[in-house]
Amino acid sequence: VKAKILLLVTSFLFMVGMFLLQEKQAFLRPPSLNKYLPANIQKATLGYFSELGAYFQFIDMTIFLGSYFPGDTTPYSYGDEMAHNFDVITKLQPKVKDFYYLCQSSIAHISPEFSKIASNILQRGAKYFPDDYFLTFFSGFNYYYYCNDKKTAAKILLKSVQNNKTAPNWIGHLAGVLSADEGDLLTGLATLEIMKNISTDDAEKIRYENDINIFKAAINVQNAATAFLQKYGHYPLALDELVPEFISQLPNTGGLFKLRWKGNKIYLKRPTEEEKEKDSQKPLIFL
Amino acid sequence: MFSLKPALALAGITVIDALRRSAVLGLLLFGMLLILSTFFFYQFIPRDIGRFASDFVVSVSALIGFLFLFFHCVQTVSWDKEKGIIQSIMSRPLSRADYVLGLFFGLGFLLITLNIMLGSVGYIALVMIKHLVPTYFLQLSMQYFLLTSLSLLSGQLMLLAVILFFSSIMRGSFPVLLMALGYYFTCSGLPVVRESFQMKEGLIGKLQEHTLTALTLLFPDFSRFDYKTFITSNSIELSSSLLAVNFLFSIAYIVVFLTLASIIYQKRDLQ
Repeated sequence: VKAKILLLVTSFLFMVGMFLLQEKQAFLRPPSLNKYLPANIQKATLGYFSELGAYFQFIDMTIFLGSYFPGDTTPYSYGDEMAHNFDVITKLQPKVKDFYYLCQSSIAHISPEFSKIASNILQRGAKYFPDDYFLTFFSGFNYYYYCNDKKTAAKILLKSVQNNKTAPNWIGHLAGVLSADEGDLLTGLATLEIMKNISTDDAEKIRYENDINIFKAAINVQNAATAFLQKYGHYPLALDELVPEFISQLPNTGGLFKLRWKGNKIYLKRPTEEEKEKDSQKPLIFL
Repeated sequence: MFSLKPALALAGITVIDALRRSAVLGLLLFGMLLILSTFFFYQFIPRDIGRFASDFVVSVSALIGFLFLFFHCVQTVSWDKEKGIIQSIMSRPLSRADYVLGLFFGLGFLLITLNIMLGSVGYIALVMIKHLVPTYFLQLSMQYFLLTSLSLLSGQLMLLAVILFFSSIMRGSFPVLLMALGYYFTCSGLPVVRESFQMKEGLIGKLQEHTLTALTLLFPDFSRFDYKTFITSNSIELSSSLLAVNFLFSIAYIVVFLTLASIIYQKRDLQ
């Protein structure tokens, strides 16, 4: 019996020693994230438990994200895995908003490529939340802010307003402004027309009407520039060359927008503070 | 064709046998512990706590049901030499159809009991979580919870009927377990395959589509019986006709497989 007790105590102490070493090693290892199995394989194997699998993978990712201290690593080191895993879990359980919110906050900022992946995941999620405009808005925001693709951003933002009655109208207005900023005046105008028709607020309708007038005036200038091209075989170097032969005077928007002429296209940009102040003192001109 | 009295007597023996082996009690305790763990796990979910909790609780009931089916029912219904067939030494004469029906009734009763008990504990857990975090748990529908539990039970009873069918065509619990698992994975995998073949055009595409549809008749898509998403949903988008069709299909499916099992049992040599 004594020999057995001795063996038990020795082996137990050895076990504790090994465990402590193991613990030390475990904490030395940096946290890691693996790519999860593709959604289809998980669906086929988990069956009724697919959603449960998605939740536990989400928890795994939140623990991974929480295990880093600021500055420990760059998001590039885990971006691929994160993007893949968000794609997987949102396919397994597409009806959980938290998955999309974490996707937006953890991968969209890494690079334009990751931003596009996040946007696609968010747009897929938007189908499951027809009453929620946030997902589409984030998606559009990603294209605008991280990818500098204002045209796509404008399309997505407009969609979020058209598909959702609770979405604030300024999102649609933003879509119009972004289109104009990219030189796509006709899309911008069409967007504002839609917003004016959707709006139920009289003051808002008036604001849209003002913007519509500005966009129409900008389109007139663009048409004048085209007429200039037809007559002289080249575009004007500055818009002043259009006055008075093709247009009686250039529009003034009262500091709301500024017409910019680059190469062969009119762009409606938001003016700088200085320009805004200067223009607001001049009379409004819409032609 | 069969008489109810001996079948019910056998069902009673099946229930007592399960209680004696602590199969139900053990699973029940395990299930309750898992349901309790919802209180721990929901803290990892920032907003959609209601959806997570309801999915989790229903999945626990499903998991316990599957464990019961694969590990207890397979053992009970399979014809092992070592196990002997205690039911066959009953004093009363028993037809093979009664045997199949008796086992189905007994194990079905245990499944229903398990589901009712775990469902009750699960619902109480959901009410408590809703009370703890009302902002992130806006909707909890008792009707849809009951509907989900009922449809889960119908799926489990279908699986039980299939296990009985497999036990009628082969000896030993291990082959039956393998077949039952294979059946379950085929049922889960088939919808994924169908989805990937959906867009195929032409004659071969159509042929594949029809083959997969026919296979779905035998290996049903259990996700069609999955209503857990409605428990916390505000929008009611479930058609009653679809519901009726699903339940009638599961009844017909159970009857077909039990009948097949009893026919094969009838033909089988006990040796």
